[in-house]
Amino acid sequence: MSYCVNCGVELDKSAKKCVLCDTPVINPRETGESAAVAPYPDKVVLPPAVRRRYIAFLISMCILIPNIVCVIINILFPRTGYWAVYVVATSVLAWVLFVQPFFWKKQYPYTQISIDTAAAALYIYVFYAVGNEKKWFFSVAMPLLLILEGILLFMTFWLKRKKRDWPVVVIALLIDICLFAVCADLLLHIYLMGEFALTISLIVIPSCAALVAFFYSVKQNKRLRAWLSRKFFV
Amino acid sequence: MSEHTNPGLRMRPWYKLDNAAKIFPGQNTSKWSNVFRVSIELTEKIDPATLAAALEDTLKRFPCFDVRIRRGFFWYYFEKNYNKAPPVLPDIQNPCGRVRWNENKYYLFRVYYYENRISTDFYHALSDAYGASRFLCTLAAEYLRLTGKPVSAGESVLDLREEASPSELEDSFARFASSKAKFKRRNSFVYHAKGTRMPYHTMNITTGFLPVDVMKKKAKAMGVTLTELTAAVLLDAVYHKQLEESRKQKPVSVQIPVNLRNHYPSVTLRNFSLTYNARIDPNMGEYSFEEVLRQVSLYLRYVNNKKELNAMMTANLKLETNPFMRVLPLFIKNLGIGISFLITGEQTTSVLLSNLGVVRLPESMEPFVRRFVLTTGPGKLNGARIGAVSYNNTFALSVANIYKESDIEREIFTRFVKMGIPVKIESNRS
Repeated sequence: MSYCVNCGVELDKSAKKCVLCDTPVINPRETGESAAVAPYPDKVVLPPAVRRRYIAFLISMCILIPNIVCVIINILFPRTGYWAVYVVATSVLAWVLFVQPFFWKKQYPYTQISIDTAAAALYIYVFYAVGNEKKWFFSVAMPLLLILEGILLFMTFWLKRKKRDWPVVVIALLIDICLFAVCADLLLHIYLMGEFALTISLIVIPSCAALVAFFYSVKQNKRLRAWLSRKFFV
Repeated sequence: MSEHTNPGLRMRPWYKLDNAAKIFPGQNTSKWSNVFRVSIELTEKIDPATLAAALEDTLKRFPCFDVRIRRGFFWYYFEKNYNKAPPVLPDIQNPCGRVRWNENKYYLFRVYYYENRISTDFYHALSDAYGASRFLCTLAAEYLRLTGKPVSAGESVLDLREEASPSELEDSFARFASSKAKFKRRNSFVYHAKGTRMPYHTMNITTGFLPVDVMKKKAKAMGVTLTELTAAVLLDAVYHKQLEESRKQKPVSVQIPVNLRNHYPSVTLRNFSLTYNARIDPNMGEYSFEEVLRQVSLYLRYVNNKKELNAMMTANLKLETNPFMRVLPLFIKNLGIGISFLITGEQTTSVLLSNLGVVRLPESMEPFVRRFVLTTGPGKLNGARIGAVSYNNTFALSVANIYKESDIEREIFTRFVKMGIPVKIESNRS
């Protein structure tokens, strides 16, 4: 039998360190040859996950039924316009974004982002095509969507490479916001006025810069960081 | 008709959940259920096949545990489970996992074995630690009998030849609640120890074994009982943790369940306990350990009386019998319970100390039983929840902690060591 030199409690024969303070157990008289049985087995059994696919299927059915009803009513009353297209497009987008991921057994983030972008593009295109409007879809919506997809893909790749510190992740997100704001600003100016100019992003960039500076100091200052972790512990 | 033949929907026996049990299904989530564990350690290695046979025999004597939970339109209810006894499982490192109605052959308790130990994880809606300990003792006695030991019934071991009496299956809250006084709940938000959370469905269990005679001597010298001393040590440890952690001080409280069978002539195997909170407010000034001990001791003695408890019990029962509450559909009740648990549940208690008291076994069984342990399930906000039980000369104090840090456990056990009480530690930490 061994005692922890630090805590003074008697430890289990199988213990290699004190479970209360991690002080290693060094008992010259115990050679460890007669391996004692640990008080608990090593096996951790996690309960099976909720049946996600089944629930996703039920939700899909719940979305599908009103859509079918809408389409039938719209076909029966064609004079009311193509309003069912909006309903179906919105439902498809919602389904792709929120329900479809639960059908996959594994997670494929790159594929998911690509599918989500395609669904979003299709959704915007429906409004563009039905509304029969000018060229905004190809000159503004699509480029912005592709930029967003690029940013998301890059962030996923960057986060998957290694575990990042949380202030660094926040800084990266703020830089992404700045980047997207600048791109959106430029594209809209070119589309609306035909010239390169920045307006709204000039408000976004300094705000983000101030926040970046704050989170950089959080990253550097251990005391501030400990205080924040404690205060905003979830 | 054989034991497990399903007699058809209309003929199935069923009964209502007791007053305390009614809240537990509403609190159930995919990550957390109110589950606790009672374990008994025998002197020899457990044989799973014999244990399974013993479980089959024992379950017949406990119709209140031979049930599955069903969803009614207004309330949940228990219905006889026509499956065979639940499987006897090899023990795991992370007990007290969440309960789902359709798992484990629809049973709401699980039986584990490991080396010399038999453990049962009970869903709190079924019973409290008293009922669970009766079941476990009877199961262990039957196991010993099947291995050829002459163990008789008596004390905590129920006689398997007898039928379950109606008084064992009653809802004692409904029978004894009769107070005319208005009970006011006075709870406030309190401090919760923080730390690095373990992954869901896992927790650290640290059990300390202390000699009862030495502890009693110490407690007697201080003029308090074992529960009061343990509660005070716990409260003081959490109080000091808060002092070190932050400048803004919140009250610190310890929740202590009371076994109402000590006050009322009930032998029910279902829930029959209530809880109250002993607390100190650091904003009133600094507390020495002696002051904390005095505060806890006086408070527990003041509230632990039949009249106060009956008022609390009646207030709880009134909620259940309120016609407006009764006609609310179950999903709305569940939503309400879920939200109220989120707001008031563990927010009003810093730690839990559940002391089952002394477990007494028949003399013929005692030579084959080494230890008895009560482990509470993981908390949601409460870092540490503590279960205590005395058997023979061993007081087992089991800390279930959802945080990786072991400072609370260390503080509690080293304090006992400093008082001159030897502590032996066992843990599932690797």
